[in-house]
Amino acid sequence: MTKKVFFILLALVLAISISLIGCTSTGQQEEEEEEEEPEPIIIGLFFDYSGMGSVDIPYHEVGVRLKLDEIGWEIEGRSIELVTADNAGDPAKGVESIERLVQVDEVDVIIGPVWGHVQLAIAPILAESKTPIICPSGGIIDVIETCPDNFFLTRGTFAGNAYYSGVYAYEEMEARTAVILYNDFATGESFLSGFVTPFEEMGGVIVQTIKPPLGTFDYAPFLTDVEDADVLAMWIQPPELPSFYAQYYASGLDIPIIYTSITAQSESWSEVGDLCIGTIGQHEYSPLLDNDENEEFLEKVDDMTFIDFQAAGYTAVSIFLEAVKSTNGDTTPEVINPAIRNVSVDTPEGRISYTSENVGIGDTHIMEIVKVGDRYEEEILKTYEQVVRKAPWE
Amino acid sequence: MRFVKTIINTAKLYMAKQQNRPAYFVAGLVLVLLPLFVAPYLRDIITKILIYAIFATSLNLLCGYTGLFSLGHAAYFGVAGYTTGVLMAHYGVESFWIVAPAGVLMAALMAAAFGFVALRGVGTYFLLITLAFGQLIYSVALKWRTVTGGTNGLVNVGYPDLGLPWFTMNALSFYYFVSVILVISFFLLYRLVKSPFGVALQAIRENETRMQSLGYNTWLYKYIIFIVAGLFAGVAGTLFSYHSTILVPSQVGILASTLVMLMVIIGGKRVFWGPTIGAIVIIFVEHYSSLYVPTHWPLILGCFFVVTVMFLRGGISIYLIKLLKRVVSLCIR
Amino acid sequence: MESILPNLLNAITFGFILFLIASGLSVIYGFMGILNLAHGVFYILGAYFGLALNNYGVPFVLASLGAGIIVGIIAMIVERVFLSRLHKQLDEQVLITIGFVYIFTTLARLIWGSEAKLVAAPAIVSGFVNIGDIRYPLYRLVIIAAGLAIAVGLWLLTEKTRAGSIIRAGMDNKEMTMALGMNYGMVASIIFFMGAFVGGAAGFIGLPIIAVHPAIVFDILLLSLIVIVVGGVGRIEGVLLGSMVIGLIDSLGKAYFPDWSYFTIYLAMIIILLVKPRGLLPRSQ
Repeated sequence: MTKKVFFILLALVLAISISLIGCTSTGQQEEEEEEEEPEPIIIGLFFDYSGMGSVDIPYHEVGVRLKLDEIGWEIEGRSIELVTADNAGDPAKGVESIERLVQVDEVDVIIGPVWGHVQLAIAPILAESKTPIICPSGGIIDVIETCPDNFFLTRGTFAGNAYYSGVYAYEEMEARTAVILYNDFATGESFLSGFVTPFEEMGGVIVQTIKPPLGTFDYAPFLTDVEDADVLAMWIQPPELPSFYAQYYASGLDIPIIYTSITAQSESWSEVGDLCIGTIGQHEYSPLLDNDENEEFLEKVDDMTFIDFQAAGYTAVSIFLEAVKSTNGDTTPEVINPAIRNVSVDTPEGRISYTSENVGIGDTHIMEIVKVGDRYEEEILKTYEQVVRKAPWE
Repeated sequence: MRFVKTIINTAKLYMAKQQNRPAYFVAGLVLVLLPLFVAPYLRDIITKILIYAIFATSLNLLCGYTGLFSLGHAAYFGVAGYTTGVLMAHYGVESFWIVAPAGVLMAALMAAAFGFVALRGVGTYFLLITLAFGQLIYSVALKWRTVTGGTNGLVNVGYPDLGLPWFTMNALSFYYFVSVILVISFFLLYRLVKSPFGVALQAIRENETRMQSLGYNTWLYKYIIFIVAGLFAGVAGTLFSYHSTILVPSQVGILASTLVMLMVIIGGKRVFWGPTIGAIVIIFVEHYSSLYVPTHWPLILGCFFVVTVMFLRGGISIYLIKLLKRVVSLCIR
Repeated sequence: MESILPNLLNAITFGFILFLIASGLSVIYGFMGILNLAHGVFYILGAYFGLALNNYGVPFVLASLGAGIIVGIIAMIVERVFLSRLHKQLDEQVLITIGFVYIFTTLARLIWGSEAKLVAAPAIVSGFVNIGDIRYPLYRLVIIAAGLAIAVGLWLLTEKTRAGSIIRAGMDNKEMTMALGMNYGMVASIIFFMGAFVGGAAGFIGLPIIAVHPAIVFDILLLSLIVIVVGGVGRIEGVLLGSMVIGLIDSLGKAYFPDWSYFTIYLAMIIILLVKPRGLLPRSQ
C-alpha cells in the first residue's frame, strides 16, 4: 500500500509541476481574454532596464507615458495598455523578451531598443511576426535588410547621426585637417565613418586615427602624440567622457572637439564640468529646439532628467498613435505597417516621416554645448532640414 | 484494473532494482512532455537551460572532480560557437555534420593549446591564467570585426541542417534535438567520471603528490580532462550558436565564465547533477526577477549566492538529494 | 623621440595607480588566503564615499582617509560575519565575493547612479610642472608620491613591526601562529581592514584621473589580479614590481602599439607566468 502511495505522490508532484509551469504562461493569456470588444492596443516597451544602460535608457518610458497621459490612454475607441520587457543590453536576453512580447503579450507595436546588437538579434524574429517596431534612437542599417516591412529607424543610423558633423566641419568651420578618436568597437567606428566620408570627399584630410579600447581608464597614453589639426572628431561612450576631457586638457591640447553624434546628455556632461562647453556635435533633439510641439512637451515634463530620451519616447509613441488614427484603429500588421510608413507628423523633434525603406526623415542639427543654469544644454548652430537620417552610402 | 496493476508492479520491480532509476524516469518524462504544456518562449528558455547544463557540467569536470578552478571556460564555449557561426554566415556551409564537429574540434584544439600553458600552475595561478586566456579570446572576438562582427555580433539564423530532405528543424524539434545531445553527452560524461580515470581525477584533487608517488602521471590526467572539458564546452557552444540568433563577445568573457562557474558552485560540485540544477536555478531566477524587478536583479542574484554559501554548503543539490531521500524513505516503508 | 618622457611618466603614474589598487588585494590574499574578488568594490566604494565627503566640504586628503576608513569598516564587518568561516575554500570564496560584487554594485548604482563621476584635484596640486621641455600635470606626480608613501608605510609595517612579524608568520603558517597564542582572528580582521582601507583610499586618490562608475568593478579587479600574479604574492616589493611592469607594458603598449591595446596586458601576463609561474618576486619558502 505504501508503494502505491509513493507512486500517487510522484504522479501528483509531476502533475503539479507541469501545471505550474503551464500556469505562468497561460495566466497572462487569460487576463487578456477577459476583454470585451474592442480589444485594447498593447504597446510593448523594450529597453535596457537592468544592464549597462539602465540609468538613462528607461527614461524613454517616461516620455511614452507623458504622451499617453495626454490622450487619456485611449485612441479610436480602444484603450491602451503598456507592457515592458527588459533586454539588459544583452542580445540573447533581448531575444527571449521579444518572444514573450510577441507570443504571450501579443503587443501591437514595440518601441525600442537602443543597443545596436540587440536590434540585430531581434530583427529575424520580428521579420517573421511582422509586429511593427519603432526604434527611437540610432540603429544599424542591416536590420532594414532583415526586416524590411516593420522595423522603423526613426532617428536613422549611427553613420547618419554623424554625417552632418563632417559636412559642418568642412563647410562651416572650414576645417581641412582632422584627428579622429573613437572607442575601438563597431558602434564607435560607425559614428566616425559618418564623419570621415563626407569630410574626405570634400577634400579634408584625416591626419591621425586614435582608437582607445572600450573601457579605457587612462587616456593619457593616447594623448601624448596628437598631431596638430583643425578639429578633433571623436566618439566615446558617455561613461568615459569625464576622464577623457580631464586628461585631454591636462595634456595641454586645445584642438576644437567635435563629438560627432552628441549622445551624452546633461547628466553626463555635468560630470565633465565646464570643460565640455564649446564642444560641437550633431543631434536630432535638444530641449532648446524652437517648435510648438517641443514647447508643449516641455510644459508637461516633470523632471528634466535625460530629457533627450524622454523626447525620443514621446516622439516614437506619437508616430504610432498618428498611424493608428489614420487606420481608424486597425492595428493588424498588414494595415499598420504601411500606415506608419506613410505617417507625417509634428513632434518635439520637428516634422517626422519615413522613407519607403523605413528610415526616418526629419531635421537634424549641429549643436554646441552651453551652460543654462545648472544644466548643460545644446544650442542649435545650424539646422539641416528634413534630411533622410542615414548616410548616403548606406 | 488488473492490467494496470500488472504494469505498475512491473514498473515498481524495474525501478526497485536501481536506486536512481525512478528519478531518471521522471526527469526524462518531464523533458519529453514539457513542450506540450508551456508557451513557446518558455520552452526556448528551457532549451537554453539544457545547453547551459552541458556547459556547466563540462566545467565541473575541472572544478568538482579535479579541483581545477577555471575562470576562462567560456573561451571554449565561444570558440565553438563562433566557428560554427562563421562557417555558416560567412562561408555558407549549411550542413550540421560539418559545422558542428568543426566547432567542437576548434574548442578542443584551443583547450589543448591553452591547457598546456595553464597547467603549469595550480590553484590561484591556474585560475588567473585561464582568466587571461578567456579575456584574450574575448579581445579577439571584439577586435576581429570583419569575422566576428565585433560588438555588433555574429548574426546566425537557422537551426541545424541535418541534410535530411524530408525534415527541416524548427524551434520545437530543436528542443528535442538538444535534449538528445544532452542525454548522450551526460551518458558519456557520467561513464567517464565513474570510470577508473574519473576516480583517479578525484584522487588527484585530494592529494596530487600522493598520486604522483603512486606512479600516476598526474599532469597527463589533468591535461586530458582539460581537453575533454573544453570539448564538451564546445558542444554546448555549438548548440548555443544555433539557439541564439546572435553571438556577441560578452558571451565569451569574464562575465560569462563567472556565471557558469556560479552555476557549478550553486548547484553543487560534488554531485554529477549539481551543475545542471545550478543552471536551472540561475536561469530561472534571472528570468523571473527580470520580469518583475529588472533593475534589482543583480542584487537578488548576489543575495542568492551569499545565502547559498552560508547556509547551503556544498550547493543546492546536496540538500535537494537529502530532501528527496527523506521523502522517498518516508513513503517506502 | 621627444615624446618618450611623457609616455614614460604616464607609464610610471599608471603603475602607481595600479599599485594603489592592487596592494590591498595582495595583503588580504597573502595573509588570509582569501581571494577577494570583491576588491574592485572597495575601490569604487572608496571613490563614492570620498566624493560624498568632499562634497560636504571635507578637504581632499581627509576625504580620502575618511573614505578608506568607511570602506575598511564595511569590509571588516563583511569579514567577521561571512568570510571568517571560509578559510582556504576557494570556491566558496569565489561565490560569496562575487555575490558581494553584484550586491554592492547594484546598491551603488541605485544610490549614486550609473554616470561616471570625476573629482577635481585639490587646487594646489592641479596645475602643471615643467619637466625638461614638457608640461606635465602635477597631480600625476602627486600620485607617484602617494603610492610611494603607501608602499613605504606598508613595508615598514610588515617588515619592521611586531604586528608585521605576526602577519608574515601567519602568511607562512597559520596553525603555528595560532599555536603560539596569537589572536589570529583579531589580526585577521585588522589585516582585512588595512587591505580595504588602502583599496578604498586609492579609489578616491585616483578619482581625479579615473572616473568611477559601477561598471568598472570587474576591470579594476582584473588589473589587480594581473598585477599581483605577475609581481608575486605576499611581499610589498612584489606588488610594486608587478604594478610597474604592468603599468609600463600597458601604457607604452598603448602609446606605441595601439592596435594591440586590448591584448597587451594579457599577453604580457601569460608570457611572464610561463617563465616564472609564481610571479616575479614570490614569497620564497
